[in-house]
Amino acid sequence: MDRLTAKTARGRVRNTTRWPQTGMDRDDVAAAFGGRPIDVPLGTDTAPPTLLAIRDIVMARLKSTGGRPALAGTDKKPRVPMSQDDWRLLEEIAAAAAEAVPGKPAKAVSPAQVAGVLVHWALDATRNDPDLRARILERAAHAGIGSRLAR
Amino acid sequence: MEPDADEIDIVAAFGAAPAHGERFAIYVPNKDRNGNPVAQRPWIDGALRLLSEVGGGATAMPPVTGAWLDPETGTLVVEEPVVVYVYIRPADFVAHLSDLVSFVKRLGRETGQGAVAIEWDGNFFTVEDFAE
Repeated sequence: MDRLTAKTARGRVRNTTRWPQTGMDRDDVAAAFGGRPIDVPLGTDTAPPTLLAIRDIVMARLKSTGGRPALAGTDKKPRVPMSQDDWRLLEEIAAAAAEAVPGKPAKAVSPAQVAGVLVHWALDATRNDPDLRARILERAAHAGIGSRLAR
Repeated sequence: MEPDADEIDIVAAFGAAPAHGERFAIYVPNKDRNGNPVAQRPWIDGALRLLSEVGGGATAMPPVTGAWLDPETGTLVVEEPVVVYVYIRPADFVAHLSDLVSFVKRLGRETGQGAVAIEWDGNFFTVEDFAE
């Protein structure tokens, strides 16, 4: 069955519903529970649960080849342009992943290996979620790269 | 504001009233702080019941894989928590806040947790002191 889509003449809709709010912010609620806020919103790649998961995946996919461990299942090494900020974040994640598990020696992990895992992770999520894929393709189309992604 | 967007009250379009506000979620663990299994189902049921009272209904997600790093030993406890969430009705949330706090602290205490994870409106925090 074809996917149902709806578009207005202007292509976008802004919801004007006035949602009720408690007026309580994160700190109010955390204080009520005696909790400890972690100053990163969910849904970002720097949220603590996400970083833990990244580390697990990186470590699980690394295989030892005698020298620097290589990522299993990778056979392409494309050159990908990125910002200095993104590269620095990859270096931070790689350093965290390389830390020794208690009782075991540290493993060397490169920022590029981390990038490979993150890209694989994002594409996997896209592959397995038709709605997410449709949203990404729609946004990519707005950015003028849709035709290349849709191929 | 997006200048080229059509403005629609989506809730009104469905003939509904916007009664629900922020999202509140409790991560219900299935292991204690040492990695030993705990009875998760009664706590899921309890959370569903309590959160339904603050939102008229609640949702328990399928188990996910999560991890908690014990800050004292460095041990990573990998478990399958169930996230139970509700879009709250503001007045009911405020009225039941002490019940929610009590539930979370009892959950932490009686299942031997190092931390219980909570989400409020897209923000994450942990409760680590379970004394009441």
